[in-house]
Amino acid sequence: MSTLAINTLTGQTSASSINVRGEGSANTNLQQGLAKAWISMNGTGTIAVRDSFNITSISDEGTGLTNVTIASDMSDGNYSLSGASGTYIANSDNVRLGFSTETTPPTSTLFRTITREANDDTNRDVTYSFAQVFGDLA
Amino acid sequence: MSEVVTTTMTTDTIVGNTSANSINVRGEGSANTNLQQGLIKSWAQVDNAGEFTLKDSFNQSAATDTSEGQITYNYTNNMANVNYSCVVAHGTLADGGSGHHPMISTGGTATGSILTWVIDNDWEDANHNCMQVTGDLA
Repeated sequence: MSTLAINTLTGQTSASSINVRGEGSANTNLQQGLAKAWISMNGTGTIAVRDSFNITSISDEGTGLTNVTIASDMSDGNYSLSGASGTYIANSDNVRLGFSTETTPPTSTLFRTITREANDDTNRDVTYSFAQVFGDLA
Repeated sequence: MSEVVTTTMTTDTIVGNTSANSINVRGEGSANTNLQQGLIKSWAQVDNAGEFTLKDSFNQSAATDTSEGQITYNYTNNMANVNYSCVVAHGTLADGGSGHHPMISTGGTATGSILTWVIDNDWEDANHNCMQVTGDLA
């Protein structure tokens, strides 16, 4: 067994690219494989960040609408977002989490989550919602 | 057991020592996590509402507009099996609606098929289709 104690990893040929041997014989890429931001939020009452990585702040943009500001910017708005929502606490109905893209498309610094009740298609504030960002940092 | 202590390491490729496919990384607390298992193996963002466009991606050789509301993703480096984890999300529709469900239809080691489905049971193209895959590379 060997141990490497280190603070920073940098690519040699390209500073921003390090290959990692995957589970089989193929390589994957360290930088591309790392989540660039994630967040757990409480959207009820005064909205709050439960925990996060590379997130500066969130803002309440209306019922079910939250703007999430990224700390270290992405290179553009073409990153991959995913997320999930807890149930609507008033009736335990299912709530879907999507990303509001027509009026507020993702940018290098911000994306907007939208949580909407499945049964009646109404925006809802939820106690648990989550989002993850994969893509290229600036 | 050997230990290397340094501040910055510059390298092109990281391979496990005891097992080429497994590297432990100290987590945020005292427990270790696994580098290979923690890296996402593919991500993508596709705009499917207007002209079909693969906006950005990792480990995708191509994404194709299979039919309305359906996108097929093709991995560059295949997954080891079909038991990987895939999450998807997409943005609001042109009319601002978000009552649609992103669904995964079929998954293969070389391709995964991502379907978007509106609540009235019609397939529908959407903006900002995002997918993220974690699991074992071949």
